[in-house]
Amino acid sequence: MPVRRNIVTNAAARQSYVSGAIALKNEFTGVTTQMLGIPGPSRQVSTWDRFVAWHSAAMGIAHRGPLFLPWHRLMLRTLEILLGRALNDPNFGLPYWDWAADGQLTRPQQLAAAIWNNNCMGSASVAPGPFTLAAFPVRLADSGSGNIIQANRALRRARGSGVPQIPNPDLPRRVSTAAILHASMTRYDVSPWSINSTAGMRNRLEGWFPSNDLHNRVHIWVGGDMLPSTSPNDPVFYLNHCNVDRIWERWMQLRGRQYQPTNNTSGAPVGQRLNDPIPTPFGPSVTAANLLNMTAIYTYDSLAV
Amino acid sequence: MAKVKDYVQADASLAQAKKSSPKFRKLLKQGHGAHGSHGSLREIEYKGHHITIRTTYEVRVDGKKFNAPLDVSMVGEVSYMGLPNVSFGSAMDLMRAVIDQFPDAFAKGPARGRGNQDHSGHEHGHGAKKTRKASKKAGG
Repeated sequence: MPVRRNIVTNAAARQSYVSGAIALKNEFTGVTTQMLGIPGPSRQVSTWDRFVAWHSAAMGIAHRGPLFLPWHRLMLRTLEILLGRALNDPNFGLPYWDWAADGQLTRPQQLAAAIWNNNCMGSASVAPGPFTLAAFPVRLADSGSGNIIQANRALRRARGSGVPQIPNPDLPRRVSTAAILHASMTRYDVSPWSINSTAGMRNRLEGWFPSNDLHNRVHIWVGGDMLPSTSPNDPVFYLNHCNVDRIWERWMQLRGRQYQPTNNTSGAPVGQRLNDPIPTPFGPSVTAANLLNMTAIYTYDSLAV
Repeated sequence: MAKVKDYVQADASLAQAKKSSPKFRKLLKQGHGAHGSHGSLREIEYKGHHITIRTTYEVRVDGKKFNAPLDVSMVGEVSYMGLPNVSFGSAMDLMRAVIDQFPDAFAKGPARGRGNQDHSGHEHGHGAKKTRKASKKAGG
C-alpha cells in the first residue's frame, strides 16, 4: 500500500516524485489540444498537462465549496496511480510538504528551506532545479480569465513575493493548522456552502476564513504559476494539496468521516453533495462518499500537522 | 459510510487516454463555460428586514473591457476565477495583481487581446448563463 511521506525528510520519495513528474510531463498518449478544444495549433498534450487542463476547467466545483477536499483527493489519487505506473512502482505514494513546519522559520529561512534545494523543487524563479525548460515546459497556461491558452515557456515562481495586497507573506504557521483541529471545529462544512461559510473546517482549511490563510496562502507564497487556475503546472501544487489532504485526514480521525451537505440538505448546491457524481476525465465518476475513507488505499507516515 | 475500496481509476491503458478525449473535451467546455456571472448576490436579515445586495463590476483596462467576472464576498472581499486562491480588499488591488500576473494579456501591440480581453468568440468563452443559485454561491 502506498505510504505518503514528507518530501523533505525522505530522499527516496523526493527522487521518485521528481522523476515521475518529469516522466508524466513527457508522456504523450495521442491526446492533442485540438481533441480537447484548446485553441491554437494542434499539439500533443502530455499526461501531466491533462491534469492542468482538468483543474482549470473545474474551478466551478473544485474550489470555494464543500467539494474542495474530495475533488482534490480524487485528483491526487489519480495522479498517484499514474505516477506509480510511470515509475513501475504500484506502491508509490505522493509526498507532501509540511509547509507549517517551514512557516515556523524566519523569512530568510523559509526561502532557504530544504524543499527548495535543487535536488527537490529548486530555488530559481524561472526553470527551478530539475524543472528546466527542456525537461518541464509549461505548455498550457491561464489566459487571465480562467481559460486555457497554449504556451511554451519555463515554469515560473515568485516565492515570498506575494500580491499587491499581500506583499512578502510568510507561510502558514502551526497556529493555523492547530485551529483546524480545535475542539470547536466539529462540522465539515456549513451553509451557505461557499467562501462565506464562517464556521466549518473546509472553508478554514481552504483558506477563505480567515482570508488568504492555509491552502490559499501556500499558493500565494509560491506565486508565479501557482497562482492561476493552471496551478498544477507546478509540481509544488501536489505537495501542497497532499499536505492539505493529510490535515483533512487528521481532522476526520478526530471528528469522524463526516461530510456536509448530504443529498437531503435543503438549499445545498447540486454537484457538491455527499452522493453527487464528481466527473473525471481519467475514469468513471466517483462521489465524495467514495473518497472519505481511503485508509486501505494509502496512508501517511505521520498525521502530526 | 462508503466501503473501504479504491473507487478512483486512472486510464486503464495509455490508449484509453485518447479514447476518453471526447469526454474530456466536454468536461473542459462545460467547466470553462460556467465562468459567466450575473453578479454577486449578498443577503442578510437585519432587525426583521431582508436585505439583498447584487454587485456587478465593469472593468476596463486601457479602455478595453475585462470580461472575467469578479465576485464579492459577504465581508466585501473581491476574487475571481483567474486567481482562484486569493481574495483582495478591493477590485483595484485585484486588477493590479491581474496585470502583474498576466502581462502578456495586456501587452500593447500584437499580443494584445490574446488572453482575457475581447474573447467572446473563444471556444471556452464566458457567454454561458449562470443560474441565480450558482451566482449566489459564487459570490455569497
